[in-house]
Amino acid sequence: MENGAIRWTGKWALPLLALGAVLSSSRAEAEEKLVFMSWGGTWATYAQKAFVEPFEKETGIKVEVRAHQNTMDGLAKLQAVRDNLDVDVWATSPVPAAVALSQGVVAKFDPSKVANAANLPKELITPACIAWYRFFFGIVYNDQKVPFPITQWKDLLDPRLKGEIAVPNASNGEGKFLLQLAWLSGGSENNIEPGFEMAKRLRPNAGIYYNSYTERDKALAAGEVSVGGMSLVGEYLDLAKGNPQFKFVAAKPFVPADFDCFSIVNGKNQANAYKFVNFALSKAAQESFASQALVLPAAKEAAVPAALAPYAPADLVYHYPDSAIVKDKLQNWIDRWNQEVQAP
Amino acid sequence: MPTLIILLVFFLFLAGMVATSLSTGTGEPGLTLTNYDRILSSGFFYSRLVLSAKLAIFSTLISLLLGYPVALHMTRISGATLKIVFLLLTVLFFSDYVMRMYAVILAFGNNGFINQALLGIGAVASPVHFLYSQTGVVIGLVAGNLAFMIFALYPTLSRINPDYVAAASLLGASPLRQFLMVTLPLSAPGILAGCSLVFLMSLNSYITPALLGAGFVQMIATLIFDQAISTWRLPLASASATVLLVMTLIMLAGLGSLARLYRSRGGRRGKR
Repeated sequence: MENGAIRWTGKWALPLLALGAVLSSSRAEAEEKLVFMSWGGTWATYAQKAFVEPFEKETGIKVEVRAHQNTMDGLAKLQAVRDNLDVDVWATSPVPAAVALSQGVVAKFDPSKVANAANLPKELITPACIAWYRFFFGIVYNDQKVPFPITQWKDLLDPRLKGEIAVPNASNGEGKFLLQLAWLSGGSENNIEPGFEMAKRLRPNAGIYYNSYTERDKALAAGEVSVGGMSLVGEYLDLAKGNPQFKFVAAKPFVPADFDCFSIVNGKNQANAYKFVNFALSKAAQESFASQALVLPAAKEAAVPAALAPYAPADLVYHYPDSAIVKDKLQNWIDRWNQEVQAP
Repeated sequence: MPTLIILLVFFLFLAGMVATSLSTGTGEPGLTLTNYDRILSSGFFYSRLVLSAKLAIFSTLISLLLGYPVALHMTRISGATLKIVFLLLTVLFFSDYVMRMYAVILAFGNNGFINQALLGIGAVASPVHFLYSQTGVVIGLVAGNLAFMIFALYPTLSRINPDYVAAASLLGASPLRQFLMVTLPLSAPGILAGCSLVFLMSLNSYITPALLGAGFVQMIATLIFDQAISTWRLPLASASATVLLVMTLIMLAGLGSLARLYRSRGGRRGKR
């Protein structure tokens, strides 16, 4: 009898195991999930802690985080699968989001589906995306080499800074520096000529033109240049570790600001995507992420991180670009910058 | 068979690039030559191509002038000394290209040790701006590609029969004449190989102008990068890359013709 019982168990063990595997995988597929594409590295780690894991715990929706190298890489990835989009929320910046919206890769953002959108200033919500966090740019300079304290953006034109400035090129930050020069000279997104004129006047003071902040900060640290235009506070704090000669100034009269944002990808999981974005815009999630990444929260009710507060006084004037206009003009600006300003 | 597979994969990538260059980039179906029209009528594209060729030629000639004596000397040493030289060259060859460029910045930068030495001995009153200019890019291209030149020259030089040089000496030729009439002509294949390699690598270089040109020197590869990555114009970038590829193939064909001409004039003689 025992032998018969054992033989019976042995005969059915494998099919039962197989059935169990099929059932458990079906259960896994029935679990809700969401795919979030964002920057990798430390940004992904901060996001995990701030809202990805809390969202999973609260809703039971499993979040898969995928990394893109930069927004262009992210856009290319989405374009490649546009007929079968498998990403639900895309972390990007307003200009690539606007490009993606024009191509139908992301859906038109509906703020009515995000209760926490009411806590954001209107300028942080575009048809293509909603702000995740904000940042602004200031000037970093070596006060042991620069002969005067820099307080205004127009100080960059001072002839005493000849060959000393790391100038961002038009490809860097989607043309923000060129736009800042235009704003300072009375121009705008629709009238960029004053920006080009000022960029040409600035050329004798350019020590390097850079495409990424790492190039700028390496040149500053190595003493190749003594002023860095368009630096984020977080980047400055990293540079200043062990280099106390560097100072950061949120130069007058206003600082160029921008935000990175969430776009809802035009797929089949938009309901969960909106839930996720709403969660990420809650006060707790915003404060957690901002304090880790040293950025300004998008939500008004969220507190500015203590480490950032000294550099972002309450009366600081932020000037945001109109991404819908920049999106259509950026290519021309970059071509003209290369031909007229940087390498004529 | 594996060769065919590798070649097929390689050509598939190229075919994809050409196909992209013929697309509109807006998702609309159909092919277009608009991107080629823009490139071929763009004075700026030609100016970058001419600049890239100019810097590539300079860096090739300097690499040849520096690399030839090194390769020639290597044929005259042996044993442990030769092994040490090979080891140093191999370390240089396999070292990270970007780190080599940062080493150039450490040496030639405004705060680099060459400027510090010049300032220290009072030779200059302020740092000499070696970098962030066409000069800096040429320095970087030579630093990055010199090892390739030496490795291309050495095999040819080491195969030259020393009896020919000895015979020239016995017949009264001075060392300079021995070099010009015997060694140099017989090393022509190595010179052609080294120059082809260094020229093409310099022409298509991205990292060196990006780091050492600091935006003041825009070579063709940095232009294509801007088109593809900074302004999301993949079709235009693909067209630029295709035009560059065709021009490179034409240059290679020209160099190949030179090599065939050399061989047809009895260039194989003089080998060991």
